[in-house]
Amino acid sequence: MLARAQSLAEADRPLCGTARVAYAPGMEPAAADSALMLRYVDGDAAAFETLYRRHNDALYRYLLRLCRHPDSAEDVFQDAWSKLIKARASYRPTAKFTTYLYCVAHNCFIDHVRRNKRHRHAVDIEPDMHPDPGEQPDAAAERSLARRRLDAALLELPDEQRDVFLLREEAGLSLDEIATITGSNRETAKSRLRYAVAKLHAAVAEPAETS
Amino acid sequence: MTNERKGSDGSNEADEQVSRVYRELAVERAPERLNEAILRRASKAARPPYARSILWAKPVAWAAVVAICLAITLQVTQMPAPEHIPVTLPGMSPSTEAVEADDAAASMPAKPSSVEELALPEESAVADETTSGIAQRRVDETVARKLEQTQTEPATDPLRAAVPMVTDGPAGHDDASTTTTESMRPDMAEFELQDVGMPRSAEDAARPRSGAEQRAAVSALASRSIMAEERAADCDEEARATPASWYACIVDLEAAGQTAAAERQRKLLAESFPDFEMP
Repeated sequence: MLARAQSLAEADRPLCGTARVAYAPGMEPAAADSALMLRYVDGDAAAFETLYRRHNDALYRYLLRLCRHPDSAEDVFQDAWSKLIKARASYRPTAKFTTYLYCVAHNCFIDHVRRNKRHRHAVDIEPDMHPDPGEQPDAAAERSLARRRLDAALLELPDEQRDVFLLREEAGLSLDEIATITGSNRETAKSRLRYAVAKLHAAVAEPAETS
Repeated sequence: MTNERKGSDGSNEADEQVSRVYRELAVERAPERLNEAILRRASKAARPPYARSILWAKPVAWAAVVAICLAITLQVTQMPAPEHIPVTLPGMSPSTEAVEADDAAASMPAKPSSVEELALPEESAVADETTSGIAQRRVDETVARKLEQTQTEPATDPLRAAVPMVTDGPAGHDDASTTTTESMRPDMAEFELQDVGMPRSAEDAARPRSGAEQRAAVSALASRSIMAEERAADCDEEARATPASWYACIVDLEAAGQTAAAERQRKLLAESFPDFEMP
């Protein structure tokens, strides 16, 4: 298995479209993800379940806020995992598994947008808020308000800026990896991220009276 | 939520605050039904193809193969062994005999409309150059006579009906032993069928024959028997012209000590002229 993984890594085959991100030092979780994926390629369904449980919620949130509609998010979510399962034989661990996964999901989202325009009809996503029992009522109210402002601001962001922000927050990807997935260069990704963060920060830091 | 974060890319206090608020906001989880569906699909895809196939298909396929092999083996072992009893006629090897009989049958016209048309083609009748003319005439007469007989007495098997008309002596006998008889025993009929290379299997025997094929077979047999008869005749054509001269020839044969030939000629005389009262 290890020898196969090394040989596959040497193949230097792109994972997903333009993805050409190589391993970087200190990427132990990503290496573990790749190992799990390779075990699944060899027929180990339990390895896939571990991998899935590790990434399913983050990917779902990413798609939920990208699509702005739960039904669309579920469709794209299933589509992305199905493609990953179907293309498991061609998987090559030349980059982080997270990059591969979000690249597939991003492409599925683009396909979905092209197929229909349902994602444009955004619906309010009500987060499941569970206030801390020990928190002061004023502080709890302020936090809840900040979340609502952030959620509204996030929906107001342009698609490209929201995509970059979500990729960084949910997938924990670097600017290079984000640029690879979105098909842009590093500076563009960095600029989009800076604008997105500035708008969101402005929404969160607004005085309570103006909201 | 993924904890991998790259704080080095444009991270500042505002960035940290937005990230913290977002983490508090984003607590949705993937629906469990989606999780189950995807995991089920993944485990199904991970199974090898043979495990995904129907479990009983393999043993059933093996059983079918064994059953077919047994059936073929039984059928082959129960088939009757081919018996080759060569019939040697004067001037004709056993192998060429069957070939010529087949050729004669194949070269017959498809559907002759009258008895006159039943005459054999020349190439089928020409087995012996010296007796071809007489043989041809006798073949015509015999075929016509036998066809009339078979029409009045419908036979269940055309081959069986055709066989009693003509017979040869047992294989390996000399020319004198060849004879023609109207009444032939069933075992002789079987022997004749095998001799002329007729189909032996029950399937072929049961196969219905067309009228042209029947006539072809009858003519082939008749021509062969007549030619053999001509060769084997101890009394020439002139002697057999009338019953009296034929009987005189038989008496001469007996006087010459050829009792076997005389006996055969006597039978032929009785068959050819049933009304003739031999002294």
